[in-house]
Amino acid sequence: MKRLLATVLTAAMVATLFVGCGTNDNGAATTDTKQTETTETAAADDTAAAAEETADAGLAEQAIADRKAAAEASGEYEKIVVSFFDWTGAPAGIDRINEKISEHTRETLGVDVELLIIDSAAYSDDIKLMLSSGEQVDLFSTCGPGYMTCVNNGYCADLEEDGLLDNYGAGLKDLVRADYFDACRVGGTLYGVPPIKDYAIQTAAICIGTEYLEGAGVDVDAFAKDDLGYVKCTWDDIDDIFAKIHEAFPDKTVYSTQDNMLTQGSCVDNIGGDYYGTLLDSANSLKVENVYESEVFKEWCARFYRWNQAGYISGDAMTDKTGASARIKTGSFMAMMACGKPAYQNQISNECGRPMTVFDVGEPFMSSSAVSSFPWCMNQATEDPIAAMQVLEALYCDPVVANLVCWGEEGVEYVVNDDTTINWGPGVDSQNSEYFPNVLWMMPNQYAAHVWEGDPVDVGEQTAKFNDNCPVKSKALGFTWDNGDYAAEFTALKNAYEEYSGKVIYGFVDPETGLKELNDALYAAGLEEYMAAKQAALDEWAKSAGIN
Amino acid sequence: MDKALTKENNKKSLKKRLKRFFPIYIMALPGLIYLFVNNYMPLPGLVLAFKKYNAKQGIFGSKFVGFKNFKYLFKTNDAFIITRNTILYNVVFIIVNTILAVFVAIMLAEMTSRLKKIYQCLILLPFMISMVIVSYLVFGYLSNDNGFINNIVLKALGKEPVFWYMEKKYWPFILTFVMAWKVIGYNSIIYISTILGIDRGIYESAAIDGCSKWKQITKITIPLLKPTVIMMTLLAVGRIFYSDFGLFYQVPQNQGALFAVTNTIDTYVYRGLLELGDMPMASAAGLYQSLVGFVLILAANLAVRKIEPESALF
Amino acid sequence: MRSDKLFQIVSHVILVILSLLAILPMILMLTSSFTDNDVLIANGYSYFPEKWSLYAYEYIFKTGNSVIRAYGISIVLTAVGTACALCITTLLAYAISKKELPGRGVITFLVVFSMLFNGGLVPTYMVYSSILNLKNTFWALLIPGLLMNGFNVMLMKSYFCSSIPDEILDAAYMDGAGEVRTFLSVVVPLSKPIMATIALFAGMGYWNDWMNGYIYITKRTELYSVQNLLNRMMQNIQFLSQSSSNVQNANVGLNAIPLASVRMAMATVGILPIIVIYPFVQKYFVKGITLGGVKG
Repeated sequence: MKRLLATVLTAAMVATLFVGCGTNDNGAATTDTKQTETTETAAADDTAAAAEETADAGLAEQAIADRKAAAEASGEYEKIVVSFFDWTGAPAGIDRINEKISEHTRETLGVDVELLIIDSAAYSDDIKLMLSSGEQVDLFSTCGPGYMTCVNNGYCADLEEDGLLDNYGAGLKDLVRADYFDACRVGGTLYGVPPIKDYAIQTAAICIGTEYLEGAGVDVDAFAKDDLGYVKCTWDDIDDIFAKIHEAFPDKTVYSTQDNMLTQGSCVDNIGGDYYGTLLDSANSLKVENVYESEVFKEWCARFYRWNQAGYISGDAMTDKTGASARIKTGSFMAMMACGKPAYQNQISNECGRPMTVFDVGEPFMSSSAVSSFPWCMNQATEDPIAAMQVLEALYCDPVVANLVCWGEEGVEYVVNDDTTINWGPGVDSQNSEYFPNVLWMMPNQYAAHVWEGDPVDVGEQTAKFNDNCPVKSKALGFTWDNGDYAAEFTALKNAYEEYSGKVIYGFVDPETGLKELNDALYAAGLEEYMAAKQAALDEWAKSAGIN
Repeated sequence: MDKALTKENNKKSLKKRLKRFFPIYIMALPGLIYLFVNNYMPLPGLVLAFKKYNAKQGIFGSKFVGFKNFKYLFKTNDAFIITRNTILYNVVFIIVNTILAVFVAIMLAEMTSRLKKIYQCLILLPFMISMVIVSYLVFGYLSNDNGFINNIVLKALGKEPVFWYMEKKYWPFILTFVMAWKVIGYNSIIYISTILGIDRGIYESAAIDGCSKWKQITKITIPLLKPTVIMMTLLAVGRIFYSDFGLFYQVPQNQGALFAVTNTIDTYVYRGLLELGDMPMASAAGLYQSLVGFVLILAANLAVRKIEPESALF
Repeated sequence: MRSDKLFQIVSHVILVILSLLAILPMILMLTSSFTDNDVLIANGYSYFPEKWSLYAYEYIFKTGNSVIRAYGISIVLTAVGTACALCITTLLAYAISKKELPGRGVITFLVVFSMLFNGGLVPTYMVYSSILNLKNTFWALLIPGLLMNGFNVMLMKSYFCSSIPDEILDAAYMDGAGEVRTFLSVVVPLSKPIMATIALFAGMGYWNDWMNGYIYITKRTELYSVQNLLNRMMQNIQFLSQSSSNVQNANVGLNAIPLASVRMAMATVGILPIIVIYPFVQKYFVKGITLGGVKG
């Protein structure tokens, strides 16, 4: 049993990473959410806010003063432990960075801060065990174990209890838009603060190796460009292009598959965190429908069937789990699909090891769970919620803290250029740096810290704009669902999906028969019941949130 | 001696025996303490299987929900298939692996050449690599586009390539083969050590009496191996509701087309809990598997006690 | 003797076949660990790769935590662990092999029961981290789960029961030897094969374990054992490549990580020491026991 539990927990990590982080957050470019929105609203309740703020400040100052006095008396500062994951486990320089942060926070907040950084492989297990056993962890990222899992297990504290957020996290309230806070509420209770990043995605970005396009004589300039500067075209155009590159490079496989047609290739909203019951037109309707019977999915399957028949897809597509870009890098594959965002072309070219051209075939979209995929939470067992809240605020709002957490120590890990961007410190690189977590997208607020050389200095504003301008936003933004009562159905559905989906999504079987098989299995596994339960929860949520 | 008399004696001598065996108890103590700490102290945690876990209340304070966490194991059309697969594979593994391991053990133990050291080492090696790696190696052989079997073996034989990962009829054999490949070396060591524990004198006198090697094996070695075989089988019966997760999930590359012959209780549960991340449900699955194993092992042990009291577990 | 010769020849033939079956996939593992990563993904695993490369090994030995130190931890852990496990297991197994021992049935039952039921990950973790405070210490690698298991105890008990005749023990008692002396001077010498077996099993258990390090070592990375380190590396790379779109592309050099070949190289690095050490353990498996010698 221990082994089973262990495998399950370990694997849950992979899954949540995928589901939670992989699909929604699009790291390189991201946001300072406050800008556009708060300026408008702030003006309105200026006076009220001002009055409130003085009161807040008083309480917060008082708490800090009390802690400093206590530290004076005992000679030791209270410690707040902050946990998140990186790719290599506790960095070599962790003690030095902790000391640097604490030096600063002793002054500003009257606490020591300890970063407890665990590698991605173990974080999900470790954090759950620590939260279950009462070890000291005060603040933690839910990227890994998953936000809903943490909330359902009762790990997270109510951040608004006794005016905690209002009185001690005023800076957070200014920084994060109110509707993004709402997106993180579960059953009306706020358990987490979302990291400041990009929440919208540009769906269905087909990336094709530029050399193959040139070799096949495809004239990319003939197409129009979209807002992000990518080639705007239709699926018919893509079919044409694939036919051409296939003809020009018959030895290479055209399309590198990945099971992302819904997550990255459609605006279907997987409300409640799974695709068993979805919103097909989430911007306008709150009707829960079966996506596997929808036109969108049928189109995708038909497309893949066509591509497979034409020989664009590898015979091992169903078994080979190598990442799409890794296969393109080998030079035997030519195209893949991902989702776009500002400055994506450079990133995908890097990943694929060759210049890639990005074709924008989809539309921008922000799903219901985009904001709440992995907020930062406070342990319900934390001894001093006030201090923890104040440290959380510092992580989001204090540039000194943000820089130390994101980049390490100035002059050692990084140096600042004239234009305020930063680069490696003398003799340091990604391999030998003593502090380089490289999880910027998970950080509370990466835009409070410096921008890396090469990225636009205003990347925060760009990303905020990208979020704010996203025209297709799910009406269910902020809906979360605990499917614990339907775990039996969920497990059966998941098994049924994995049993029958592979063939049809990679086009190894005629969509007519394949989809029927898949849907029959799903209904037999209890899809109807599951969808009805989801719909009921959604309706209730909509009613209480005043959405219709 | 008369039975009644023995009992009488036993009663009288219990105190004496306790005294005599005092050092034995001391010897057993470290093991018992470890057993207590490692296995029995966490045991009350099993109650988790009946709870809706909430960290605020802790394991014991969480809400009691009865058998709700077990529901997902049965409320499915697949319940029959996963149970059947789990049991059948285990039965096949017990039979095949025992026979092969005993066979290999006898050959290795009776072999006079020094080469046997090398054989033994080589046969043990597969046990040392994880199923994840095994799954990639199997893929190396069976891949549609690049696999050896399709590209080299079947081509050489002039046969059509087989889409291995789509054809479920082959998989019961492939999985049995992989399992045997992995564990034979390990299991055979157990039998080798038993054979080596047999007094060489018995063989010598048998040889003097003109017994052939074959006779020595069937008349001496195999009967003396019987208690170990029975014990190993009994212990395996206790785990009959468990399956090697890596073998059934990773080696077939989680291929849907093969589920009918690869889906077991463990893989079924895993697919659900992967995303649910629900500890009580995982506990429930484990408890269910353990309980069935426990009942079966008790029954089997009872049967063995009737037939061969010497070989019973307890 | 003719039948004996025939037996030897047949045995050789069969064992050569089995050895080949065992070793061929392992060779595939070895060659693919030396294959260029891109070639590996494009052409699949091959005994004769188009392009050889040492990069996977370079990556393992150069990146992050020191593999050499991890080897050190693993060796010490395996040595200490095996010795402790062997002692505890032997003593308990011997106790329950005593047919007249009062309470023998209960103890045996407790052992078998412990193999079937387990409190689960979280309760076990709480015992070791909150009650015993072993977290982030060497003890956390040594003690949880691995020190003794019911299977080994039963295996040993079965050997004691079947291979050590009561007459020999009785003879020792007649000579006036106590339990302890009988155990040390009669039982232990007669149990070399099973002790070697249990030592091997326990040693393999310690060497291959990564779970303990995974759960109980969160801060002191210098306590990573080889398998723990390799497993973490492998999973980290896997996650990294899956969520690559989250990573700062400019400075991580993600495309330099050879996942497919590294996987194989890590497996190779992990089992290498076993191949080196195994022959030393093996001498105990080679010779049988002659009771006559001990009696006299």
